[in-house]
Amino acid sequence: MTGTNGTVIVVDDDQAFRLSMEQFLKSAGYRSRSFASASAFLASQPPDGPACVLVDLRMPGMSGLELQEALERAGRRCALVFLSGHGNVKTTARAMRNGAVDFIEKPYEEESLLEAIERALARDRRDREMRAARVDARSRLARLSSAEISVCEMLAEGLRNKEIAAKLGKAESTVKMQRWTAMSKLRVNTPMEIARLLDLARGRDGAYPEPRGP
Amino acid sequence: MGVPAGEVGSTTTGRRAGWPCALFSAILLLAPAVSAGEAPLPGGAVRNVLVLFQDAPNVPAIVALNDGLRRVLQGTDRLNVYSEHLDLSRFAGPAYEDGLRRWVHTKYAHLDLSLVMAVGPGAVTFATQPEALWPGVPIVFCAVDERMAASFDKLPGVTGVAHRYPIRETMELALRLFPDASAIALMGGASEADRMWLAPLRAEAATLPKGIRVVELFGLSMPETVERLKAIPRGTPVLGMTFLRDGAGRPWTGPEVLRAIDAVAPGPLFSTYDFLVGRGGAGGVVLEFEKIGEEAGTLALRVLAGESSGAEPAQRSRSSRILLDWRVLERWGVDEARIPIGAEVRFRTPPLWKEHPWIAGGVVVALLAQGALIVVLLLERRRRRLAEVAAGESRAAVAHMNRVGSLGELAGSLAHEINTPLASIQNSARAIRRILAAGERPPDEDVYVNLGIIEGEGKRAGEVIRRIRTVLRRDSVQSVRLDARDVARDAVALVSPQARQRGIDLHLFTPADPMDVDGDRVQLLQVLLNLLLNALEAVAPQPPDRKKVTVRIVPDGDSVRLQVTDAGNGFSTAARARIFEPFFTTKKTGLGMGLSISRTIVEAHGGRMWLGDSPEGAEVNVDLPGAREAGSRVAGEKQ
Repeated sequence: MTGTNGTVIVVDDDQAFRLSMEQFLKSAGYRSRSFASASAFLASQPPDGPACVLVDLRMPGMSGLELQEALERAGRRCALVFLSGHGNVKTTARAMRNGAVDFIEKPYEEESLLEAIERALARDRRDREMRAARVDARSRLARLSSAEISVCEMLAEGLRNKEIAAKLGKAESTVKMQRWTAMSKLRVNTPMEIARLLDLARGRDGAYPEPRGP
Repeated sequence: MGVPAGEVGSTTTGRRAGWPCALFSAILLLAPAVSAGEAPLPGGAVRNVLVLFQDAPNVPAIVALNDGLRRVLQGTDRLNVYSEHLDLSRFAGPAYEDGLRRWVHTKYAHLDLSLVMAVGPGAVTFATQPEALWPGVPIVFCAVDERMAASFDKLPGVTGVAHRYPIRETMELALRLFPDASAIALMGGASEADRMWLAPLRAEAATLPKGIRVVELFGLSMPETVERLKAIPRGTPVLGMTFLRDGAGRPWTGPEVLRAIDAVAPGPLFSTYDFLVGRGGAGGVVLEFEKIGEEAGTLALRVLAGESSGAEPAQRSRSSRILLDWRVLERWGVDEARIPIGAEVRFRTPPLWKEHPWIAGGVVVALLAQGALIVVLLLERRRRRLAEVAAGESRAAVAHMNRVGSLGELAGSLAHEINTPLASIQNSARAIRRILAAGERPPDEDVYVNLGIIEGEGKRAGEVIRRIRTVLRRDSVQSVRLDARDVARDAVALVSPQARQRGIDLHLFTPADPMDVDGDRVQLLQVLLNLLLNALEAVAPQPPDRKKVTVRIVPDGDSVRLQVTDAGNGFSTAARARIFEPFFTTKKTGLGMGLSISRTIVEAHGGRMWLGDSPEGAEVNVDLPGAREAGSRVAGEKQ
């Protein structure tokens, strides 16, 4: 068994391909789920553990690229590996620009596929961790008052207490107090950590779009 | 060869054997009637004439003789003519003849006979021996050889027409036609009647010029006869009269003998029997029994009129003539100039220029003029054919380019269509390897699932490649019986990956029954591909509900209609007018050759390509003439 713990999702309109891929993934030690269309996959519950998606570029209805965009819009970050019977530079570039893990042409080398799956799973694991961190950051930030958040934002920008007090028109002692309570609530020790938390919560690391809704 | 009616038959055996052969003598000559019935019959009384035929009425020589005889006798209405066929050749013997004589005598006892005619020597003997059946009634005979006739001359009140077989004349004719011959072969069978001919033949041959050797082939078996004939130098004519039975006792007929010796005979066979002409014999100087009948009839009328006493010696028939078969003579290289004047030559079309020199001359001039014209036209046609071949070749090249172009448009989707099954095969093969490597005993049943996938997907990829190859084929055009549904299926299969990828609904509707047409598979596939690619392109930019392309195969009377409709924007009026023109295109890219080539192909198949009046989108129809059988079947089902 080569596979590390993880689920591989196959989205392909070709039934024989789905079946053969399931067989291969099973023999390689992966759990797998397959969907005959992008929309069927979109309607499904995301798997709990680390997972990646092998998606056909050309499909009736929603194509692989369209699925990628739909996931993006839905804020559902997936580690996508594109498989294509016939790709071209344009579509490959677009897929990669939009965050695909890899773009593999059918037929492919076994190692290329396995390596792409492993990379995708690794990224999904990382993504999941970051997602968990963001949830944590947001829950911690939620405990702060709006005054404390304002102080934190300025701290994250690298301003000193005096500068913050001047900007906010408050006494420096007040700023000091609010800074201490915020850092206690956030369980951080340095302004750098505050900045990271804020970035995590706002998705400013470039990987996370601002979530819609609450 | 056979014995003719009324021939001398000193023994009944010979006659019996001879008659069946004489059945073959079926030539009836339409010789002009001699002036008959000139002798006026005295008084107003109706006279009774009895004709006694030695033989049965169906013997050809008898039929011919009777024709001539009747023609003369029936020229007067004051004669009642009765006929009796004694059939003495087949039914011989004193008991039969005695009974027959009594019966005939009884039958005609109440009639006052004025004349008895005896056809054949047997009939003469019947009427006169042992005593006269009708004493005092004159007898006129015919069909009697002159040697036999001499013996009848002694009888009171008996006269007739005697004939002589023109053997000598036939020999001379043969040697005249074969001037280089140094011999003549005399041929005959082994029966008594056959051997009877040897003496007269030998006697006549003895009077031939000294340099002519006479070879006698008499009484031998057929194989011996054949061997002996082989030894005779070629160009030696053969003379034969009868060959009723060979030395081995086997019976023969004349035509059979001719066939048997055909390959070995040193020359053609001459005979005085006319019926061998047309059956392989060369001919000879032959007797005409119809004329003998006329001569005998005329003599009978003279006797009745009292012009002849009936006691005078028999007159000599002059009813012989030269009859030849040109086909046989030609085969033996006989010089036409050697045929005697007055000879009747059968089976020969005389050269036209001899009979109608002016017409022939005119025809020759006309033929020469026509020939010249034909040569000019052929040259012209050749020039045009060369041009057509050149045009055809370039047309084929353009058509091939068009097909390659079609595939180019489909390349992406077709690559997908092949690579996907290949990837599946790889997946399954790898899965099997891993399963086996895991060492489970017995192997996981998934192995069989994967083997099934490998097999099925390999076949699928092969099928795609087959279709591609069909399109790329550059064979010469060949028309075969094919089912239009198969062509449509291939075309739809080729474009469906692209349609699928573009989200286009592509549907094929076919009838349940074969839609047979005669045509070139590649070309018809090309036509459908062109139409489908156009349709896909037309609907691609449309909203999803208009991304529809439909192919229909429908029987239309005796033809098969292929209809491609799409829900695109259709053709503008301007486009409709020029749509089939070469290099006309509404696309941004494209040579504008697709529809033009397609229409050329359809028309070459005897079909028609036309635009339908679809309210929205485009409808292109291709009507192909149905294969004949299939066409009638389709028509039948519509009723």
